Amino acid sequence: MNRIFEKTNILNLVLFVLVMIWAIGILFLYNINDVKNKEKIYFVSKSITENRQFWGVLEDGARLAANSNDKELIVLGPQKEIQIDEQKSIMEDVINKKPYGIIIAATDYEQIGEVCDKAMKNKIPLVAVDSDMNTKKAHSIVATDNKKAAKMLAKEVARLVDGGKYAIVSHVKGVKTTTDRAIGFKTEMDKYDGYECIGEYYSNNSLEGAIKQTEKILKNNDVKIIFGTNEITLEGIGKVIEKKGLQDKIFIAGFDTNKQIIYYMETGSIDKVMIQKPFNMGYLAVEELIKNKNSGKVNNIDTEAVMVNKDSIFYRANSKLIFPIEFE
Amino acid sequence: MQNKVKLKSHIKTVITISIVAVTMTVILVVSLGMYIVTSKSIKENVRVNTKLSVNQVNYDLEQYIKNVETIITGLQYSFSVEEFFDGTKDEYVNVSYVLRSLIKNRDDIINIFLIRPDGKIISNENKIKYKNIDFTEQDYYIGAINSTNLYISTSHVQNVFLKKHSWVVSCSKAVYDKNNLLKGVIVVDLNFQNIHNLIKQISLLERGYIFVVASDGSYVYHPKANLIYSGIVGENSDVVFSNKDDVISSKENGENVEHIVVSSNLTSWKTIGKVYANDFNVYLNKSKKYFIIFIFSAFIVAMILAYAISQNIVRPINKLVDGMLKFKNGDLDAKVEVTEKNEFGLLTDIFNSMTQKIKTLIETNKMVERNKRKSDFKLLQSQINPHFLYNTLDSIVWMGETGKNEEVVTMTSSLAKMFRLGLNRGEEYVTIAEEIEHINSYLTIQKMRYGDKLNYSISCDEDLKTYKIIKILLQPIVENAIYHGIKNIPNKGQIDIKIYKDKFDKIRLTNESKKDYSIYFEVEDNGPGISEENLQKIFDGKIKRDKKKKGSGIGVNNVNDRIKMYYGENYGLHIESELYEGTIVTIKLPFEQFDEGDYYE
Repeated sequence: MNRIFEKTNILNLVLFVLVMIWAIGILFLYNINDVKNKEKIYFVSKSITENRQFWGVLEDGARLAANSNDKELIVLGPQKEIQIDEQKSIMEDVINKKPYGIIIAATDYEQIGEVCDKAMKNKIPLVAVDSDMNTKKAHSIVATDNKKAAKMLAKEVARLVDGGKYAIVSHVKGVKTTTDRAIGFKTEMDKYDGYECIGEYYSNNSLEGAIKQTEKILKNNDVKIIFGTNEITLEGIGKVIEKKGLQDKIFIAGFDTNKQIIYYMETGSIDKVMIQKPFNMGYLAVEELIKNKNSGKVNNIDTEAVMVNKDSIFYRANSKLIFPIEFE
Repeated sequence: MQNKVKLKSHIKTVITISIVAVTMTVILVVSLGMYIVTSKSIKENVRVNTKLSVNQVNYDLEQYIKNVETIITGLQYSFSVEEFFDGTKDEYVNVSYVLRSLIKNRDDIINIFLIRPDGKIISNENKIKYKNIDFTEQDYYIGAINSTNLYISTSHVQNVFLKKHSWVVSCSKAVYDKNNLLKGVIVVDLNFQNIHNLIKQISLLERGYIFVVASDGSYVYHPKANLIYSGIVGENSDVVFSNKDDVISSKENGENVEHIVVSSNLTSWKTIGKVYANDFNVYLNKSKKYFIIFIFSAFIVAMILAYAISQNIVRPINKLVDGMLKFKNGDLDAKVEVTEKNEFGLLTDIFNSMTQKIKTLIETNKMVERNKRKSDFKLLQSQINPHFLYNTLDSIVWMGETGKNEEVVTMTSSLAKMFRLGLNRGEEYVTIAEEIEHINSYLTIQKMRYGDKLNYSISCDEDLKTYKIIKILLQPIVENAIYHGIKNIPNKGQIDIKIYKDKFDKIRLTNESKKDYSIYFEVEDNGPGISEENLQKIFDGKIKRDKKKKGSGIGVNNVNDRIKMYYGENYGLHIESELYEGTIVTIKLPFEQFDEGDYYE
């Protein structure tokens, strides 16, 4: 009899201890939950120092979307856009962290593709923003349809300028955005009679390069239209036009703005500019990443561009794009 | 021996579970109540806080505008401004200086400029070039001349200067002369950056935000302006165009959204706070989590306490059970230490005294049984007392030889009767009548042997004769009276036996006084008597039977013991003796009739 007593007592005690451990365990789990951080979305940018107005606004848009979806946005990237290997190694690090997802603006169409495939192989959803890269597996792209935008611009140029020779100044040879813009512009111009392309020049993404190339083009006196494919190139062209007082003689069109370009537009040196929507691009990239993570569907989203002239830059919707308030 | 009840549950477990169950029920009910109250107050709190934030933003906006109003009112009556509006000079460097000094060291105002109806403009800036546009066609100019009060534009990029493009809210007022003729318009550009920063830093819960709408429905401030202009997101038009301060609930992508609208009479703007319902849940979940943690800790504490309490309650019970088991298994000395001074202590104490009593009872019983057997054996012996038998048989033989046939018959039949009654079919009880017959037979035999030396008389109350008593009470006494009494005197011996009942304690055997009737048997002889000394020895049982002497061999003691065994200490034998006078032996028995049950037992 007494033995049975002892046995059940021990059983009770064991049960009691088990319940205690269980309860403490649950408390512990709850505490861990308490300090658990938000899920992280990594944005691997082209450059964290160059072109701040564009990328800064893009990051703002991405951050707003991340916050709205209870996620944390972390921005990484090489110092300069030309540091392709640096971007690759950043990507490797990010993949090892197994984040919620990655948004990447590729510094190179071909070279970045492999590391992006690796991310997707590791079941990390990936969205390309602004600049695409060549991957084996399909991925979502959130960017301006550069070809389409360039065509739109060309169509407008053709409407405003009554025939003549034109030149294209691109920023870097072989970069996807550049090629798309140049090809798009040229394809559209070829549709109309009376326009002749005298050649494609490269500024190598520097102001000096753009000035040099523009001066070279202007030696051919007949040129009536110059198309600059990006911000720094367009600024260089504008500078030469203002210096030489050719505001009324040559029609300048291009992509992207900065303060100087606005000034050139207001004073008539630059006539038509295509403006991208980096805020929307960032916002939609994050939204697309979350959709992709949940559904696995892949989309190609055109964030569109807006064409402005010296008057329409002060339309409120355009002003918001051209003069981002944080970057005054 | 196996216990009938098998232990399937323990009191300890039952108590523990009960305490935990009761505690947890109370805690759960209270927590649930508290949770409901808390979640309600959290929701209320969020609403109140949102309203406060929205009101604060509205207040700050109005403060900005009030500052501008003060500046404009001052400028209206300033000499240099009048000078410019009057257009009497060509150069107005002085005016520009006045304007510049007005906004020096303040970051809330970016530009002040004056526009004349002829398009002439002057501002605080003196180095930056003006744009080549018609200023009288601008929104801030037209707005001012069409309104009697201060005209406030929506937020916009100021396009007055080249290379200076600031986000501003333009406040403008038309100035008229005595004849109500337009003199010009004063424009003050509020730094919109400040307003933007002010509102942007306010977040309402996780995703909520504040936005400001102008009376025409355009957004003065919206954190998602870019997305709205691109048509990616939008605000509920009911909210944007609502014309009263209210809380408006609507659905956005299937989620409930609350808008807190506060409008300003001064600016005619609406400040709207937007809160997502699901964000409430984040806070509710947090409080839910704390409640769960609280309940779990309470559960653990309840468990520990319940365990400790039940342990305390059960410990004395277990001790008692242990003691009882020991006792049950034959340890009559089993005792449980009394540690508590409560019911358990009492129980233990009672148990202890009970075991003590049982132990004494068992021991007494053992002794009584032993004595009974012993005296019964002696009684049996007395029945077949060989000396008495020899003598009687000798007498019969002698009487037979002398031809006293009649006497032989009497003696033999008396002997037979005596033995028959003495054995009594092995039963212990006989009626008083039978006892009288028995002693009568015995005395008949003895009378025939002793002749005139022995005379006797027997008297008995008639109503007592049917009463049952233990057998062979008188014979040993009478035997003693003959052998130790009258046998030793030269004269005639006389034995008188009286049986009667008496109400009073004729003889007191214990301290207990009896009020009831008792039956008394009195045997009186006129023998030599017994000395005090010997009398004492008889009762102490120290007078050993003299084997050489004839006699039944069982004496007074045996009778006394048997009475006490059967009837208790209140009854027994009393000897009263006087040397050379005689002895009276009195037996006291209870006056009670045995019923059949007792009889056959």
